[in-house]
Amino acid sequence: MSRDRFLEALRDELKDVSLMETNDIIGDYREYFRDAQEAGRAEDEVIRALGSPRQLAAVLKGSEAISWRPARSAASADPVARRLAAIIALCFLNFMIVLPVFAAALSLLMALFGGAMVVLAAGCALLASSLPGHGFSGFVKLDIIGQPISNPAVIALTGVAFLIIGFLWGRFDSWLARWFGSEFMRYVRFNIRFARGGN
Amino acid sequence: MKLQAKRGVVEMGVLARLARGDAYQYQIVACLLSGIDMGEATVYPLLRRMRSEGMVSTYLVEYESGPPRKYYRIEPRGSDVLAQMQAEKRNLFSQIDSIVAGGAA
Repeated sequence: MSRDRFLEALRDELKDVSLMETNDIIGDYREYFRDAQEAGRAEDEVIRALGSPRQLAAVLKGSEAISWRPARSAASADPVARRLAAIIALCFLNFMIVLPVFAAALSLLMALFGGAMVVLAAGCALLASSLPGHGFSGFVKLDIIGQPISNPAVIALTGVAFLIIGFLWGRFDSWLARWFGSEFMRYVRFNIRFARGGN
Repeated sequence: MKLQAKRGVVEMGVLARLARGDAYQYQIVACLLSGIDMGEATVYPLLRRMRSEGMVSTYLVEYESGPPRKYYRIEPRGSDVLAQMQAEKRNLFSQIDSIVAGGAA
């Protein structure tokens, strides 16, 4: 491909750009080829270095679009305004979405914890009532599908089963709470980083 | 990240070169090519963007053999961006230094 073919191909690719701008771009590349030639470089080597006209046109159109993207100009223009915008956006996100999710997750964890405590307490009560001569059997009653159970061994076994279930339940809840806590800390760190403008 | 950093380096290189004095496109590219491993084609789109953002401006200078040359000049806004980039660079380097120093200890 010669210099003229390259420039023609580039002009073709820039069809949807205004004629004034296209002429400006083509003129700049014409100047570039001339200067490269004066620097002693071969034409086809420069063309290779510049890449395909199609790609070049895509980058040129893209860079024009980028220059008007508000985030970009805010970043280069005013870091304070950008930080303020980041903080406002974070506050909005936190109050509208993260806070309700956080509250829901926290109440779920507390409910799970309460459930574990109830099951553990039931296990303790059953075990205690299975022991002879304590006076508990008066108000702790075990009944399975309408059949009252009075055998202390069965009551004790049921108590142990309740304790095991309550223990596993509690372990699951504490594992969940720890995971939730670490995720929450990660989110807090992200907030700080974001508000500082580090992205 | 790597790509982003490279873009920043090229942008900073262009501004730093223009801070030393006005130059035409080929001079800028030749200056950067001597110091940075980069695609030759990346500079011109960047120059156009910088011009549309008001970081640099252009003017034509008569040239003896052929059409006039377009020179690029850094504007106050470009100087601000350059200063900001240099501060960011120092900050980044000192962070890296402290990590490296901490790792050695």
